[in-house]
Amino acid sequence: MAITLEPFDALLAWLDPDRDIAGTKYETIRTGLIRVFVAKGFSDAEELADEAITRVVRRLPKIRDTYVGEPARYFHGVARNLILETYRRKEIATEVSPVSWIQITHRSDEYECLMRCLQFLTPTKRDLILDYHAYKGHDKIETHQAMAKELGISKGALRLRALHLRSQLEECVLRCIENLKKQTKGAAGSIGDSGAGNRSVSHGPGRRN
Amino acid sequence: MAQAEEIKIRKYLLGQLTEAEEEQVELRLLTEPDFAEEYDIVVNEITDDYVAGKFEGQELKRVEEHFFKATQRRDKLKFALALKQRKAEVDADKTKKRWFRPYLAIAAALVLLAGGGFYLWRVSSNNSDLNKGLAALQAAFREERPLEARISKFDYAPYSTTRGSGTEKIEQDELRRAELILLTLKKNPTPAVHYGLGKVHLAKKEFDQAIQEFDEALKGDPRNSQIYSDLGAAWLEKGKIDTEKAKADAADMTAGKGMEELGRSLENFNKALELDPNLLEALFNRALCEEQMTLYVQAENDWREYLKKDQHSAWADEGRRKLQRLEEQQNKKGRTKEQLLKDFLIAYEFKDDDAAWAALSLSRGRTGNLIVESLLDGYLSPPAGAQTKLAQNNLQMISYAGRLEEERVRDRYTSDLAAFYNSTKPGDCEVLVQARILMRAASGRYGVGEFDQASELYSNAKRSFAAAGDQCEALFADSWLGYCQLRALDAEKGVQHFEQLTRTFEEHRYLSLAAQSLQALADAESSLNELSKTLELSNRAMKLSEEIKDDATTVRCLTRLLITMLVFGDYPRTLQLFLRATSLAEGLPSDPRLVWPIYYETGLVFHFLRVPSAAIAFEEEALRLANVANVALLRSRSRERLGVLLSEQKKYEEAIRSGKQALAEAENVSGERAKTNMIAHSMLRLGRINSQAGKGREALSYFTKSLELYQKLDSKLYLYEAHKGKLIADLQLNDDIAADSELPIVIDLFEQHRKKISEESNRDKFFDGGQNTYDLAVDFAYSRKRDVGQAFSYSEDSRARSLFEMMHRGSQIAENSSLPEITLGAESKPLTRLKIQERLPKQAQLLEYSVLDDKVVMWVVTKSAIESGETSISSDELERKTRRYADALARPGQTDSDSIIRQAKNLHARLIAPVEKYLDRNLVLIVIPDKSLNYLPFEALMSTTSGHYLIEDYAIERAPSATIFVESSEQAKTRERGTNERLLSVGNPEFSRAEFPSLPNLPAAAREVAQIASFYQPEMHLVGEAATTRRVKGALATADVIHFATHAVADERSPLLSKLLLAREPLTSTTTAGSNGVLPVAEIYETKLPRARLVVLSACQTGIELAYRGEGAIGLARPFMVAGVPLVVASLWPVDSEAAADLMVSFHKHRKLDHVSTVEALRRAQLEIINNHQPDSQRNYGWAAFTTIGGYAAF
Repeated sequence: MAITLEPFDALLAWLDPDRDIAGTKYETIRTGLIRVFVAKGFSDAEELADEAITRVVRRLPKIRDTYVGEPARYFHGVARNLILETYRRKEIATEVSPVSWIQITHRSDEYECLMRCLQFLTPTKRDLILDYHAYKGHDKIETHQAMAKELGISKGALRLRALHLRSQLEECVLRCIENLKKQTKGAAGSIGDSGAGNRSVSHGPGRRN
Repeated sequence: MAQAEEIKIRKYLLGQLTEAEEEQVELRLLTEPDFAEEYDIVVNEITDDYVAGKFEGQELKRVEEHFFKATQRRDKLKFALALKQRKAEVDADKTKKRWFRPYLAIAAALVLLAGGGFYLWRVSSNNSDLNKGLAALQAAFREERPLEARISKFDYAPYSTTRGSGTEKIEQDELRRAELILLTLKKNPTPAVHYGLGKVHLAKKEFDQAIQEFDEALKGDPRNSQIYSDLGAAWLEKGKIDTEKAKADAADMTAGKGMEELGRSLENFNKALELDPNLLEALFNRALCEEQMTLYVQAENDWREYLKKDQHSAWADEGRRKLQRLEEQQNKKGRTKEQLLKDFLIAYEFKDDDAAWAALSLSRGRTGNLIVESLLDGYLSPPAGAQTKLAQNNLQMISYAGRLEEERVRDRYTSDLAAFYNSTKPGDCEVLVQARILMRAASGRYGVGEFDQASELYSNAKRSFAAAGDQCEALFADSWLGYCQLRALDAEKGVQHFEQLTRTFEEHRYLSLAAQSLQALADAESSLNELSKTLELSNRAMKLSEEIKDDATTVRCLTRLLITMLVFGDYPRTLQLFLRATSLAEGLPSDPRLVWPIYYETGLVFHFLRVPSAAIAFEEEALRLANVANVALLRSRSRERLGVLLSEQKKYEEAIRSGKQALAEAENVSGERAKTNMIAHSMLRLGRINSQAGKGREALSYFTKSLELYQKLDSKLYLYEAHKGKLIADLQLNDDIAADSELPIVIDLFEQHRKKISEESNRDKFFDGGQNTYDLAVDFAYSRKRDVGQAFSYSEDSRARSLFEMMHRGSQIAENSSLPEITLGAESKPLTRLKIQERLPKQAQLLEYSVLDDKVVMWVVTKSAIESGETSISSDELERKTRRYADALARPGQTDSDSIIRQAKNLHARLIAPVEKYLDRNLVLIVIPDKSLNYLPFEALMSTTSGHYLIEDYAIERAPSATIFVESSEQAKTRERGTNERLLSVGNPEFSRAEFPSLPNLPAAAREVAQIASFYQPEMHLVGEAATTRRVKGALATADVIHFATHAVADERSPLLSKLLLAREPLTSTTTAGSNGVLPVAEIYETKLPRARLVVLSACQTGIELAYRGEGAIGLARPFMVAGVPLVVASLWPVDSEAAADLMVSFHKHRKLDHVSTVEALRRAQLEIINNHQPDSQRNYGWAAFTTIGGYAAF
């Protein structure tokens, strides 16, 4: 459900009198809600987050003057109710296949797209992303320590750098896969043309954990 | 971002938080972008960890079913898998290694499997891949096998002990392949996978990991004989390495550990063969193990058995070679008397002094030097026709032997003997011949146990030697008179006799006889239960016998030391002594009587170590030796010991049969006293066996008869054991009246050991082993007599007695052995219950625990009353619960909060609730823990009704005993000198990084002392390089409050070697060797701190390093109490440096600014943390680690 401009303004005003701060808060809440819904196992997390926001917007005129406390807490309450409702609705949902069945081959879209997206990274970044995430079973700590030392940065800084790089790359891969799917359906598309890391504006970052 | 937060997010993502905790995480996700970023990182990490195969069991299930439920996460997983695949390819390209190429496809597939695995593959292909992995593993070693032991299902490959790097004949490609396959399979850890991985580790000689995997495999497949065999192989190879170390360093305690490991190995081979008697690998390995454990005859038997089952394989060829070598070794072992004489004669002929001395030194024994004796016989009774020449030649050889002995070891006996015979007139020779005939007759009587007759014959011989002027042999005969006294159980006379003889031998420099005499003295003291004297004398004897290279006497000394260490319960040392003794004995002429006690006592060690197979194997070897020696006494002892071991295994019928055989053998012992002694001993053991079999009446009858016989013999050695056995039988028969009269006798006999063991560690270990005597007493008084006060007194009498002795009399460190040792007196008696109540500070209430086998008894003692309660729980279960709870608090994040709370409440319900109604919240609660409770943070127990931690309701401290609490409280009273306290604080000293490379810098500790210093005036705070040993020691005596914020380093060899780390002195010309940057515990024990009222040990686990039953906790706090400090704040487990610093600053702040006592200040600091806990953060229980130990104090 779309949110019209006026109530949305009211929502922002409720979040903070300063519109810039309010905007940031809104983004944080929305992405936070998506993370919560994903954590609860909902694949339609974005829709649910939007639904939660819509419900708050709808109730805002009634609660705006009386509600005491952090608005985020109210969003959270609404989200919790939504989770319960959705759980009830999805009780008889079909089971998805076990995660352990997932496999990647050279012909997989994911692999092909990764290869393409890696080309958009500098060799240093390419090495970093591969080394940082694809460690062997038991030497994660040693690998990360050695990398941080080599780059001359702290382990914490390395973690953040790896996160940002990975987010970019994941987004690129996802967009690439979408395009591949479109291609197979006969619709032309390109990858990488919007640059890794571009995010939709209207709904903030598209995917969150 | 703090690690705690990371852990919390991880738990959230895996659905392991409570609803309230989840809400906290979610709210932060909606409000804190930084937190959300951290959250995203953790999501990536879980995904990567899954791909890397790091999850197992339930956690794996959670990840698969919960974490990866949403499509977004599955997309992330696909991305991660693709990333992993790409990485593998890049690596493969980079390395271009030959080995990887043929397996590139496999490895790539493995990467996929490691990342995602797939279900169908698991179900249908798991086994085939497992087999592939194992086949690859075997292929890796097809040219040469990695271990001497057989790994199940491995084809034959030779084993070489002389390989260079140890890897040249190993197919590394195959090994790596096997490892990859099996590690991948670990994602679905079936017993077979654990077993396969165990084999990989075993082949790679990673024995600890192998043992761990095999143990896991056995949990799911407990009747698999091959796993037992391979587990045994892992223990065998580990044990071999550790016992080998002893060859390089005789003092290395690893050797004892190695023997224990070999015992565990044998245990597993037996189990394997029990399950499958035809398992060739297990039989092969058992033979190897037995050889390693010096059970040579059993090893030979097993090889023969093996060769019956496998005659033609390459393994059989190897077995045949091993059997042949063993047989040859047995034949070569120990030169016979004749061989040694021959060696000497040849050496004499060629004037080869070294060879002559080698033969001579091996010929020494209690019956004299075999070569010298033989030469002397030849001199005195030469064969007809060759009298003069042969006699002269013999005499020259004796003189030569004497000269060598004096030159080599400065022993004058043989040279004096030669001098005497050189000066003998022909007429005297007949007297000497007769005297020597008497000696032989005496020896014959002695050998069959007729000590009275032997004594008379030795006495006559001694007179004859003396009459002929032969002082040497007169003294030699005299020493045998002493042995007769010992064997006739007249230990007191024996002590006097050998004391005199030792002096005489030392004066004459008859060193071998002096060493033997000292050893006999040690035996005599041992018969009188004078254990410390025994230890000291045996060590003296051994030192001397080693100096003069008298190996036979050294073996006897080692045997006595072994027995004494066994009594003290020091099993690693006992096993180490076993190895030394057997290794020396192997070089001596074969003497089953010399080695019998070594095997006999070592069997018992394995029994105490709960390795029954090894215990039985050693006792069977002892029985074999007794049969070879053909001595009824030894046979009887061996039979009764086997009976006891069988009884421990609940094989009561066999046990009783063996016990009765022992009794029958005892009847065959010659000599009335020796026979009576053996019968008494057999009856004692039969009493024990019957008692264990639940036959109280028979047990009582045997114990009573045994006691009567010992009283008849006037022998005190086994009185304690006999009375204790009788007490247990009385209790079994519910004869309270008899038990009531027996109990004080048992306690009195038990307590006599306190005076007789002067080394603190030995005393603590001895009373640890015997604590069940006091436990019986507590239980009897509490449950049967319902006498709460008496039960409390028994409990108190057993507590922290060594500590109390040291606090009263001071402590002295003796450095005469390899480890420092405290020498103790035994004069300090604990206070009576009435005295405790009378002197108890009115502000305090005691809560003392006694952990019994099936219950915990607890007493609440105040000035005016004593109340009690109990809880039904086995001591084992209580220990498990206590350890689990302490571990959970010590490692935040490893256990979920709900579980911690449940444990806290459960323990509160068991340990506090039964007596809560007697507790007064206005009084300080003094906890006196027992056994495993020493490790429990009582402050963190939680009431089931109020949900409060105990520390919220009470000011709590702990004390080792009620007596020590009262004494420390009175000590504290003398140190009340107003509030103007002088502080010495030591923080983050610049300790030696080279010596302690693994220890981190402690910047928080520097902050801690700087902040603490601001609350005190005058104060001295020493940080970094300034905190040198010299400065710290210099300031200790004048400080009222001493605060250490540094590393505490425990030493597993001895708590006296533990230390607090300080800064090294800068290197100057005046720097002494002692300025070594540590404050050793041993030194603190010897220090007096007349001014200090409080010591704070803000370091790792300073409150408890180990705990003995009876004596209680041994840690860094203890020496400060001995030094006179009435209050010590210490920790029960290692705490994060930052958290400890915050708590300590808060503690001192409350103490100084709120003007409250130490106990109250610590409580306030702890409550502050509890109350300020951020609801959405990982709860940290570092506060619960700290506790106050000592007495009540107003300051």
